[in-house]
This record gives sequence, structure tokens and C-alpha cells, in this order.
Amino acid sequence: MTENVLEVKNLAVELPHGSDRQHAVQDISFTVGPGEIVCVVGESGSGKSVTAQAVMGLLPRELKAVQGETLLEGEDTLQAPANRLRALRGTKMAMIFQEPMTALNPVARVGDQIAEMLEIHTTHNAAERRKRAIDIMRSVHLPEPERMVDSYPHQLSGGQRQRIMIACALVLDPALLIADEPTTALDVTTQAQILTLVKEMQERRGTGVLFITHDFGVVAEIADKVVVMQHGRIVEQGTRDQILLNPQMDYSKMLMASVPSMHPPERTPVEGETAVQTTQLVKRYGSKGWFGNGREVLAASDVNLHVARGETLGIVGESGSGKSTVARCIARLIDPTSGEINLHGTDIATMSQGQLRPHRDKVQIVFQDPYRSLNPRRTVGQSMVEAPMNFGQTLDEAMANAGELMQTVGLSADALDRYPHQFSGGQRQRICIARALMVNPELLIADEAVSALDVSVQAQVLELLDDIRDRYNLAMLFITHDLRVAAQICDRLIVMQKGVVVEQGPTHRVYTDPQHDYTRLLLDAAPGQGVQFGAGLAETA
Amino acid sequence: MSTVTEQSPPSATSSAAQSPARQTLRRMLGNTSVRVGGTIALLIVLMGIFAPFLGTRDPSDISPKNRNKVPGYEATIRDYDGNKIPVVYRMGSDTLGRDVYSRVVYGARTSLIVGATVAVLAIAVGLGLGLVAGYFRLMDGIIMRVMDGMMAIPAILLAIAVVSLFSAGLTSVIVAIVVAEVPRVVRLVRSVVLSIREEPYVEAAITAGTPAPLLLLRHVLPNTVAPLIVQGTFIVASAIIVEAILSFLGIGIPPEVPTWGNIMAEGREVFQLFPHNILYPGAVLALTVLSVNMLGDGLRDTLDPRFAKRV
Repeated sequence: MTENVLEVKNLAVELPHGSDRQHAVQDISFTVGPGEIVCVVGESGSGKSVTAQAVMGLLPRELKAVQGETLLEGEDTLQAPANRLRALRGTKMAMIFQEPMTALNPVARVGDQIAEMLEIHTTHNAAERRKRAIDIMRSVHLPEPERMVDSYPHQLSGGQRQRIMIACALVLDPALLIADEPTTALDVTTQAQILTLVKEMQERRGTGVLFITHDFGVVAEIADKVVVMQHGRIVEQGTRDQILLNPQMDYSKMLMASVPSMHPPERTPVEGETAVQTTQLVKRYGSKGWFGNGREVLAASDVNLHVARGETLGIVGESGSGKSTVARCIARLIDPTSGEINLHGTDIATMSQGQLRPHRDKVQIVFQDPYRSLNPRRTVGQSMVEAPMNFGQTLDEAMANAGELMQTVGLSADALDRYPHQFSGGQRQRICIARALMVNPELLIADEAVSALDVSVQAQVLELLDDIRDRYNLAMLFITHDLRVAAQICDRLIVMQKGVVVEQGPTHRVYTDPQHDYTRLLLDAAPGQGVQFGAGLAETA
Repeated sequence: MSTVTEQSPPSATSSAAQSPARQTLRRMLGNTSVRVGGTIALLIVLMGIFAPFLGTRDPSDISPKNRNKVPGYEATIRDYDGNKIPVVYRMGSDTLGRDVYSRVVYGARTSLIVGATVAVLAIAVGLGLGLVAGYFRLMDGIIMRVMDGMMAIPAILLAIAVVSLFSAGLTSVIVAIVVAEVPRVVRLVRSVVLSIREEPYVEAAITAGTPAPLLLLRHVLPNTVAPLIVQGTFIVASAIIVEAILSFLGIGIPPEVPTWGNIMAEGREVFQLFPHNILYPGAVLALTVLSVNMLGDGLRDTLDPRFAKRV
């Protein structure tokens, strides 16, 4: 057996006093072999990132590793002095981060940033460094590296920036690569390319990879070994197939069961009364002419859609595809440039804010970020009764309603007196859903409403949305970039690319028989699609 | 961690049950700068309020016999009834034989009134304009171009112009400084409004059909309070200085009124012989501005979310 690249033994990191638990992580033991990809998965707050930071010696000052060792090729990084750690970083271990824009220095050329690694750790001269930088850029498949080496980060796309980060990390051939959610901020097609790249690099160079993620699709795609963490402890570890297909512990079983399937069930078409219909909806940003900046972006072009009562229409697409623009036009948070939005027989597209106010109760929206959707200074109750009181209910009536709705979404009525910061993300999203229901809307728009939630919470909130749609006979417009989620909840699907609807149809049909090339590209890029999580047996990928 | 971090689940501890405002207040009072700056500022306010009881005499009482005396000089003077009373010129006397100590103590009143009034007025006007500029896009261009224009003129110059338009006095000094301070408040408020109007909870209020004025009051205005308290303290400090400068230049408050600027202007000509006429009011002025700025710094550290983490 070859020696392990990384061996973490009984690691424990203490949290400052007054935290909700004593240790950030505790009893953490696992190994990363050469050429092995170990995925650490867990929900937010489970201690995945702290583990990685401990290995790199990058723990925040308030956190202290109190026990255990992290052996990097036999050398304990927890005990290593600062200058030794500095020497190890880059040469023996390297890290890539989630946000490629903030991890790169915006005012330095990317080539110089790669060369900086060589400048610090090697004796190459400037010409050699440049040559090495170009070489490594070529090997991470960046186009025209001779030209791109002199670019600034803002001139590159998100995927290209992440490739630069990987190039920086690998230029000195470290034994261990730590990747902390490196694809979370990327679109699904870019993510697929980056995953392929990480895998290729690891195979070619024999690098051990510690890969931190919350996305089980990604795990299925690249992991050799999986470590499942919860509340700072390891719940279970094993090979990819053991954990994903046949988990032993209850928590891992629950997690795997929560991962939405890529295979949408066949649904009977909903034939309800049309709640909202858009005709030739166009939204153009920027302006030409005297005061304009001369640039125009067509965020949505000729979008025709309709949603019936009791139906969920999904809009999927990558960032910048215009899916949110359409939703925000329908909610009239932004003014459409042209086209009609027919709500209940009235065209609301051109109404002024004043004319619009009596119609505001028909369309309600649930936003992505549960931490910013509720005014932190107002109690939950105050936030809930705002809309109904605008429509003439008294405080007592509205409060009584709010209490009932809180129970509908699975919270107790006494939550109304508390402030948003006292609730978890999932609970807040429930509150937001309850708030949207306060005025009996006809159309509920969920704008990436479950994207910021952990997978187990996500499953619960999806169930809740499905449930209330049936109970209140709502029309639901579900905006998401996550194809698994879309498969789970949508009756029909619209696929958007660069502001244009490229395909629409029943969800099952779109997934099994995509008509447009872009749809096919999206579906192919979705990670881990061959795997039925927790199903016991691997399907053929 | 850049993913959304899960906060601790609801617990029954007392700190979690408090409203965000009360938590902030507690954090604020624990800050050293706030404590030190606040205490000194409070002492100076008390000095102004209780000026008659601090061993002072009528600050405009002239005594030709006792001109330009050094600090600690003892003399006897006659009061209005003709009785001889012994007095001590603790900080010496000026060119008209007035007691500098009394003038400095009473001068706190003018300085603090100017500082506080300017801050309140500048914030009131700036807040209104800033909210409108930030929320209603049509008004934004108009208001901000006017503000840009005002900021292009140096504050002192603007103040001199305003004072010379009206008669010199407390009111015109206050108006003059307010005019110069308003654009900065407008900019600050506008920037807060611009970022807050993108918050999902504001958008939720729009879809809830909340009318714009109510929406501004309920969801946007509270977010401007913290930055405005901070900015307010800095306005107080700068207004006190500008008032002193205007008075020193002889275009502010009439010279018979004791203000720190006036006392220093008075002492300017004999500065090399009797430096106390400038040193004492100058020291008190510096101490006041320092304490108010310290208070402001501390408040910013505790109220500004960008600094909150560090504390």
C-alpha cells in the first residue's frame, strides 16, 4: 500500500465560548490517498470547511485545533510553524475556492498571479515563469494561453477564472488539492467542464483531492471515497457506491432520500382556468440615445407562457438566461419593455404602480435568500400581516389568519411574536411561503425558492410547495437552475437561453425526449444523473 | 464560508429573544470609544448647561483695569451694587478684561447649540431628499446634480456667502453650515436606499401592495438610522469647528457673544504675549471635537454591519 497523502487523525476544533456547540468538528479521521478524490459532504454548519481550513492551517483566529493531527505526507500541519506552512502551501497542498472572482486579485494579470506561485517557491527567472504559466494554462484547457496570460480576471468568464484558480493551485504539482465548493457558483454546463478538468488533473498528476461539496450530483460524478458529516462529526465514510447507493446510517439514508431524482414522473396535464398569460413579453435593459450608455441587453424576448390554476410551470436555464426577469416582470417588480401580461382578464403590463396596487394580491412571490426576505427589524407577525392589512383586513383578522397559516406551513403560531433571526433558513422560507399565502393569491412565483437550502430542508420545502399548490388551487411559476428540483415539482417546463424560450413542454417529455440542442446540453451536464441515490444498486450511467 | 450559513436554532436564551435594536444597544455600550468619547462629550454638555454654577461670572463683564492678565491672577472688582468682591482669573483675562474661564465655559453653549442644531437640521433635510432621490428614479438625477453642484463649492466659502447674504448671527451661521452639510447626508442616505431597495423584503412589500411612503417609512428608513447616527456625530464635530472658524474670521456670531471662535479671535493680536487667550478655548474645542469623533468612531464600529463582525 502506498503512503497516504493526507491522514487526518482525531481532529477536534474548538468553537469560542457561547457558541451553540463546543466543537466545530470533533473526532474527524479520514485519509486521502494519492490520486484519490475524497468528497466531504454535509449540510451547512456541518464543519466541512473548518476541516479543510485546519488542514491548510487557515483556521480563523477564533477557532483552535485542540486535538488530533493532520498529516500531510507524514508531516503534521497543525504543529507546523507559520513559515513552514507557507512553504508547504502551494508546493505540497493547494486550495481552490468557491468564488473565482473574489479569489483572484482583480487588478493583477492572471499570468502574473500564476507566476507569483513560482516566484515565491522556485528560483525560475521571469521568462521561465511566464513559460510555465502558459504551459499550465494550456493544460487546464484555456483557449489561446499566450494571449490570455496577460488578461485581467474581469475579462474572463466564471469558468475560465475557475480554471485559472486550478492552474494556480496545480502549477507546483502539490500532492494534495483541497477544493472548497469549487463549482457551486458556476452554471451547470461550466460545472461539468470543471469537474472533468479536476478529474483529469488528478488522474494525470496523481494528486490527492479533498473535495468539499453539498451537491450530491457532484459527489456521484467524481468521488472515489465519500465522508458524510453532520454537526461536526463524521457520520459515515466509505466508497462512493457504498455511501450513495447503500448508506448504513439513518442520517446518510435520509440525505440520500432527499436528493431529488433526475427522472420526472409522468404527470397528467392540469386543465384549470388560466391564471396568468404573457404575450410577446419583452424586457430590454440599458438604453441607446442621448442619456443611455449605448448598450442594450435583451433580457427576455417574446416570451409567451401561461399557467393554469393547480399547475406548476417551471422555468429553467443558466444564469443570465432571463428566467428571473420573466418572473419579476410578471410580479411587476420591473417594468416590461413591451408585451402583455394578462392576469384574470386584465393586462397589467403597462399599469402604473398606483393602478397596479389593487391587483397586487393576485401574484405573490417567494425569493431565493431566506435570510434577506424578511425585514430583520420586524417580528414575523408584523411581516405577515402587512399585505392583508393593505387590502383592508383588520389587525386581529390578519393575525388570526397568520396563526392558522403558520400551522399550515408546519410552524407554531407563537412564532409570530419572534424575530426572523431566531429561525433557521428552512423555517424562514416556510414563513415566506405563509406570508405569500396571506392574501389568497392566484399565482405564486417561487424564484429559486429552494436553491439556498440544504438538501434535506429543500425536500421538505418542495413537499410543502406541492402541498399548498393543491390545497389552494394555486398556479405556480417555479424558477430554478436545478434540473433535479425542476424534475421533482414541475408539471410543465420552459427552457430559456439568453432571454429566449428554446423549448417548452410537459416535464417528462422534455427530460426524456429533449428537442432543442441546448436542452440536451443542459441535461447532459447535470452531474450524477445515472445514480439513484440510496436506491441500493447503481444504474448504468 | 460563502454558502448561506445556518444560524443557531431558536433557543430560549435571553439574548436571542431580544429585538435586534436592543442587542445593538448593548453592543454599543460595551465599546471603549463610545464610553470614553461619550463620557467626555457628556461632561462638556453638562458644562454648558450648568455654566452659571461653575464659579463663572458674567462672560461679557469688562474690566479695563484687569486687561490681559495671566491665568491665576487675583483681583478685586466691584459688582453692580458697588460691593468689592475678590475674583480669580483662572484662565486669565482678555484685551477687555473679561474672564476667559467664564467665556470658555459659556462658549460651550453656543458651540453645542450650533453643533446639535446643524446635525438635526442637516439630517432632517438630507434624509428627506436622500429617500426621494434613492427611491424615485425620476428625482434622482435632478436632486443629485444639485447636490454635486453644492459639493463643488468649499464649505467655508459657501458659509461665508450665506452669512454675508443675511445679517451675522446664530441663525445665519447655523443655516450656512447646514447648507454645506446637507449634500453629504443626501449622498449617504441615497446610497443606503439604493442598496436596501434591492433587498427581497422590500420587494416583498412592493408585491404586498404597500404604498411607497409607507414602504419607505417601514422598511427603508430604519436602515438609515444607524449610518445617520454615526454621520450625525461627525456633523456635530465639523459644525463646531466651522462655527469656530467663522467666528474667528469675524463673520460668524457677533463678537460680544462668548464662543470659542470669538475668544480665539479676540486673543489673536496678543497671542505672542498672552497665549492663554487662544490656548484654553482651543484646547476645549479640540477636546470636544475629539470626544465627539471618538463617539462617532465607536458608534460606527458597532452599528455598521461591515465593522460589526470584528467587534
